[in-house]
Amino acid sequence: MDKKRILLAIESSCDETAAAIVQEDFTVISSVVSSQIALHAKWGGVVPGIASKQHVVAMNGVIKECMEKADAAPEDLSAVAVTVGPGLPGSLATGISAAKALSLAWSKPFVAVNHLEGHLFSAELDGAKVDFPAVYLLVSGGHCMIVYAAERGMYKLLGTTLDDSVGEAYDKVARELGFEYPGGPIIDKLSLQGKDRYALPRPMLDRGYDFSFSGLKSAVRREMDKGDIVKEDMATSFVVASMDVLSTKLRKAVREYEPRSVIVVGGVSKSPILRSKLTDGSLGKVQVIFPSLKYSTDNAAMIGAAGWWQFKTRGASPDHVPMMPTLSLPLAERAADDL
Amino acid sequence: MPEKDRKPIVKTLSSLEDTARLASGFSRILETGDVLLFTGEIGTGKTTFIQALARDLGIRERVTSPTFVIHTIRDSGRIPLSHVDLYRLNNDDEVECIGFEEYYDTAVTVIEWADRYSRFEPPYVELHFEYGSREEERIVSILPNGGDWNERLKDIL
Ligand SMILES: Nc1ncnc2c1ncn2[C@@H]1O[C@H](COP(=O)(O)OP(=O)(O)OP(=O)(O)O)[C@@H](O)[C@H]1O
Ligand SMILES: [Mg+2]
Repeated sequence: MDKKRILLAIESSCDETAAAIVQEDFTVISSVVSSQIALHAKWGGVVPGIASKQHVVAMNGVIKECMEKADAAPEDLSAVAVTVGPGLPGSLATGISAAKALSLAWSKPFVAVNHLEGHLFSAELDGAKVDFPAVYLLVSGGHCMIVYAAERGMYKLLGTTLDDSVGEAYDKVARELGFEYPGGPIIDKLSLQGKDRYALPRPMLDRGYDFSFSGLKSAVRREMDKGDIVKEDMATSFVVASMDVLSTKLRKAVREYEPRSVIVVGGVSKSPILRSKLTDGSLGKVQVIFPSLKYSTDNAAMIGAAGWWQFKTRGASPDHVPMMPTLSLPLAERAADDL
Repeated sequence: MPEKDRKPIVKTLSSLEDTARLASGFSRILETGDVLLFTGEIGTGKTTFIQALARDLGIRERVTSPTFVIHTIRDSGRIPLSHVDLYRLNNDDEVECIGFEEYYDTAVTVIEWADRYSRFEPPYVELHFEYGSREEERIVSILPNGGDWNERLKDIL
């Protein structure tokens, strides 16, 4: 039997403790994410919703489960990959320590992965084919950026948010409207029932590729301070404004860079409204690619794919790689306006 | 000093420039070990103030909202800036899992949504932001608590 090489990938940069076994062709053999399993039942004890301590509690169980599911033994692995940043320092440290310890104990190469690059690879998992050049839109709770890649791994940052990510704006507006955090998906659903009748700003709409969502959040709050609002209508107005900003910037990037693919990744790429808005033909003939829903939010499978890419193109990382809480995307080319 | 005996200094910020100017004043007097606590509803300008502060501390990287990641450290400026946002946390125990207090002694610590935690110990300065009557207007109440903050704030307020 022709056996493909596999690696173990670990992710703990923010809320999720995750581990995956990924083949060198980016096929996911197993992928385990802590929030998707009944932690309490499985490993006992009280696990707070958000806490670096949670990673310590969950880490070994998550790694064991992903190894068992893949029927993989340590000697089957070609490398151990892990997210080294960006992320919450206390959270990153747990994953990095685990990965470094395993790489030492098992004498396997250690591969330090950038979480943002992981997201970009999430659309290439399980045999999905991506053509380059590509324009990426990364939209999640913590990130909001447009990136151009002439070829895989060659990134040029076109724009990022100056303040809040779009996912953050979604969750905050949801909480203001009285829904539990994180309420982004509820806003999406609610917006299907309302009318776009509140005049909300579209900050930075015509100003390059950078985003700003903090003004949108204040505008919603101020509108609510003026008097009673119709929640559905506010949700619709908010969603329409956000989508308008995202799709306008993407259209601009498609016109300017003429990519073969537009790749939309990160937690917000789950949004059915975003998906339908970007595939309604308004971006032209370019193919629009989304990761499968389970790889949109934080997971280790995407870290495995980015890890493989890095391992094959640049080799293993040095053992002394530190954690890098404020790491940014490795750029092959700087955008003209930030020189 | 008991809560009721302390009087906040209230300022009207009529524009983004006013907010930046106030932040700039703080940037001149801040020292390693200082803690600023920020409160006030969403969108009132806590992060906007901290962005201006970071710029004036000489921090080169772009400071964005840390709501999702909860804690960031920026050390490209005159003093490292430890930026915390407790918005997503629900109780004292969760807050104590983050570990930002490790940086108290080596950075200026600024904490958004500080009212999510009940165990902050003075000295610190609390800055409470509110919406004003016009779109770019904000009202900020500045409440020094402990240490020599009363003295130090005199020069910039
Ligand atoms: N005078 C002002 N001072 C500060 N911000 C202002 C002012 N006028 C308008 N704004 C706008 O208000 C918004 C404030 O958003 P910001 O994210 O800074 O608030 P925040 O208090 O940090 O919110 P959150 O609770 O979500 O963290 C920005 O869009 C900013 O441009
Ligand atoms: Mg803020």
